[in-house]
Amino acid sequence: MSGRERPVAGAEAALDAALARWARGGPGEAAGDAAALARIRAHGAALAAAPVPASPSPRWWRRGAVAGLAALAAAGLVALLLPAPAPVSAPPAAGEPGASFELLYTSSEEEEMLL
Amino acid sequence: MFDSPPSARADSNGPAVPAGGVPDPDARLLLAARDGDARAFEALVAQLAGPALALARRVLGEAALAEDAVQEALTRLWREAHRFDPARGPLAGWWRRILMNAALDGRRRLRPVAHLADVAEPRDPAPGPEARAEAAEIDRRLNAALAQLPPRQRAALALFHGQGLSMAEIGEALGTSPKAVEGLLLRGRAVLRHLMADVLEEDGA
Repeated sequence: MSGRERPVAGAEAALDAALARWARGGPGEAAGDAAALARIRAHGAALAAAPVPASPSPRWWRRGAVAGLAALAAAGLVALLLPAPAPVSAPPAAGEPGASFELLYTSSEEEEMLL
Repeated sequence: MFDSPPSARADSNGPAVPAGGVPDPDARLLLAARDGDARAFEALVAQLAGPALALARRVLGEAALAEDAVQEALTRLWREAHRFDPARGPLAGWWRRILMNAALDGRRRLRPVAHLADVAEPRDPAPGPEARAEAAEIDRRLNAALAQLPPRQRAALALFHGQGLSMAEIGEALGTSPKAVEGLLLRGRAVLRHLMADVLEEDGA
């Protein structure tokens, strides 16, 4: 072993033997094990009576990705086919080049005071 | 450093099956269960429950916690049955890992282990009355000393001495490397030797 002190071989053998007895004791050695085993089996029977858990398909994410791409492509196609919306600004009135600007801009009182 | 105890290998591992071969009997039961055969799962539970309860009790040091861990492991086995692939190895290794995960779950790890007074009486291990008394005293002290160890060290000791698994197999069950398993065993044994120095030297002299 790797400790600083070298263990006595007989003590190691005694520890090995004790650990083997401890580790290889079968079920049913402790009081209450039979009842515990009965409860565990009942739990197993309850699980077995439940519907079998569905196996998720390994390709579910691929199907989802394909559906998502198809939706994006459809949205893009619609955007291409539809006419572009008109710009949000008032068309300039004939003969008045500053009309459009005047519709969008209203000077504040402070600016008027500075002027 | 740690050779598998030779007499332990055939105990509870079940027949190992080469990858791609015919599934072992327990694996066949699980495959039938996931195909909807409820009786197959009940039969599998009957096979697994006893050894699993014994192993979990050694790891956790308390009967109620062990029972809880086995039930949780069976639930996971049922829920994850579709993920079992017999071509990747026998069911025993997969089940051991599920069981150890359930037993070493953090919620249980924080719970206290058994006190000396709660430890079950050991079985009679030796034929003569004097040797039997000595062995019984060692077993009693061992149970008390084991209660001082962290659950992972107890798990490594139980898997090594009880089931004769290799470092790699124990590492797989505990989700760690073979080198780390060796460390768990060395540290565990060092503590046991320290706590039981008087009885071990008396017995080994």
